[in-house]
Amino acid sequence: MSDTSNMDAAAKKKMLLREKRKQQMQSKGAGSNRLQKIVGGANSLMTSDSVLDKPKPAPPVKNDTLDLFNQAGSPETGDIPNMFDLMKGMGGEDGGMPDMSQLMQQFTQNAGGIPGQESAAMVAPEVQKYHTDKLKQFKYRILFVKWFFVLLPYLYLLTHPENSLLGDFLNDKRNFLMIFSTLEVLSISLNFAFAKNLEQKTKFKEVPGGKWVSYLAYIPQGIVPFDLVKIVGTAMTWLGVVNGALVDFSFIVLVLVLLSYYHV
Amino acid sequence: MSDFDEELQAEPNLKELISSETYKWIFVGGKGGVGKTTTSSSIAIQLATKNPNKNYLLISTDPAHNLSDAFGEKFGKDAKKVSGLNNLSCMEIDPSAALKDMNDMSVAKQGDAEKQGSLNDLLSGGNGGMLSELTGSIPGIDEALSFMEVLKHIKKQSVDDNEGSEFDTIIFDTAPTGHTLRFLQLPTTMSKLLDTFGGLTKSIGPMMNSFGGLGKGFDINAVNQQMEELKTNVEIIRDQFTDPSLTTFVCVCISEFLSLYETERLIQELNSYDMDVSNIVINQLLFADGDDECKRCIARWKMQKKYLGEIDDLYEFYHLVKMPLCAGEVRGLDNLKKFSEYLYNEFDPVTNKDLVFSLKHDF
Repeated sequence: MSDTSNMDAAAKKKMLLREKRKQQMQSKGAGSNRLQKIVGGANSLMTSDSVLDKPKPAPPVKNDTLDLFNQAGSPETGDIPNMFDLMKGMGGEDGGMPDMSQLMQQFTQNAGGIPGQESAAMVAPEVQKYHTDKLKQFKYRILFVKWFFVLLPYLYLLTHPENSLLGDFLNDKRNFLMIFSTLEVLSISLNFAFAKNLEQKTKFKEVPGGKWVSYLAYIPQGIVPFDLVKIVGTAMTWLGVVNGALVDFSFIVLVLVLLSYYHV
Repeated sequence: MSDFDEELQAEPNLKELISSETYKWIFVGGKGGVGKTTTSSSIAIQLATKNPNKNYLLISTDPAHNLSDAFGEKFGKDAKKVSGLNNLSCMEIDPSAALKDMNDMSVAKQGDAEKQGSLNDLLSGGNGGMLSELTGSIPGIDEALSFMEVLKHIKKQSVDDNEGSEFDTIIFDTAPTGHTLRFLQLPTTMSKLLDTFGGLTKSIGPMMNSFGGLGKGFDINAVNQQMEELKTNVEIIRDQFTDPSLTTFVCVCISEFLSLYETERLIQELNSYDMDVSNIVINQLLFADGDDECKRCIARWKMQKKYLGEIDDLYEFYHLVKMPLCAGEVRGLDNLKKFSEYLYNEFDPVTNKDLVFSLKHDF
């Protein structure tokens, strides 16, 4: 009996001491005060900033994605799971895989963040999808208008120089390249202006060249002597512009071939 | 001081730690050169001698291992019993050997002799053991491997629930402060990483499964299973490390400014991880009062007393164990046994002064 009561007393004392130690550390500014006491007494230049005075990081968020993965990789099924059914469960109503770069960002942020970079606010996948879709929609509308309402009639009229609709300047085939370049610059400018406007609304900036360029950000700084992401991004942007011009040029060639073939 | 306050004084010894029935993990750490290995070895010896029915394991996580030197016998990456103590084993983690072990195990699992080729050669001898040297020098590799050792024991505990783990308590002789803090952050960091990996594999997993027939050797189901297991074990470790009845950290310091400062920072950092710290061992004290003729010792003791006063003030509710600086080195089992007694029964500089000059020197 006395042994039990001794043990209880010892356990109680242990708990009380623990409480007292916790109280000592938990009061506001306690950490830096204690360090200041040590540092001050020794006339030292060591810092008295305390880790206890910093806000505590959020605990790891429980991720039940592993449950979904469990369904996919369950050894009992033995069958290759239906990919489409799985993808329906991911990334929104229309299905589709979550953005890899977003997952990688989440990875680095949870692991402590990429050194030297501020943590950006995460944009919801639905907003990103909306942004991308909107951009594509605008691009294809501009393309449609450019091809069927500008280039096609222009090319038809250009192959019929007797028309009175185009003026001398536009009828002159020597000016074609200049007119074509002007048209390209206009459509590209419209695309960029629309993209910038949309970025301000959605707070999401699409990486030129796609997600793969954003993975370059994970190459540690110092391995390459320049800002690789920026350079590759710029190169991809220019490549996009050149591609667009080439596609339009191909359309022009196709139209001219068809016009001459059908003697229109 | 009231009676209650007097009763609430923490005893200046490690009796509570050594007599505890519940501790599974005991960390011993502090600044470099303060006597961590001596203290961790002494604690391990006291645990083993006072609790003969239990088994203890002392692991060194310091890349500059000292355990073999402390006990005067060679220890390696596998737990080996200390000569003269049946219930105490020691282990020094060696990164390159541990990595080679892992490779051997995985090759054995795969059961394919051809695959032993290049990786095994790289790890053991081929190309001068290049991979082994490279991986062995990765910063944090010692902490990672020590953590894997912890995982192994946790796994054993959960699998052999009836029999329990081979060891009742594991004592860690840790590396100097920075390394140890990194090690202690591993459960939280790994938990976050595994959560995010779950998200990544969720998106890649079905795709990899559909290509399952094309590539051999990559079984996404097995990877998922291992990750789940790892996640569970990491969370068990995190819970155990923050449970004050299961895990405690013994801080070792000396009575000087830098050591005191670093001890306080360490304790604050451990508090931020919710780790229990209740014992502080203050080593290398001179106790040069009375008739000491050495002027240097008297001057140094005066300086130590100043910081001892601060320690008593700051750590009022901690078990402060004051240990003497001995004339000889505390090496070898016999010397460690003598020294370790005064962790259990507090050292009195008057009645126990024989300890200072009684240690053997024949190494």
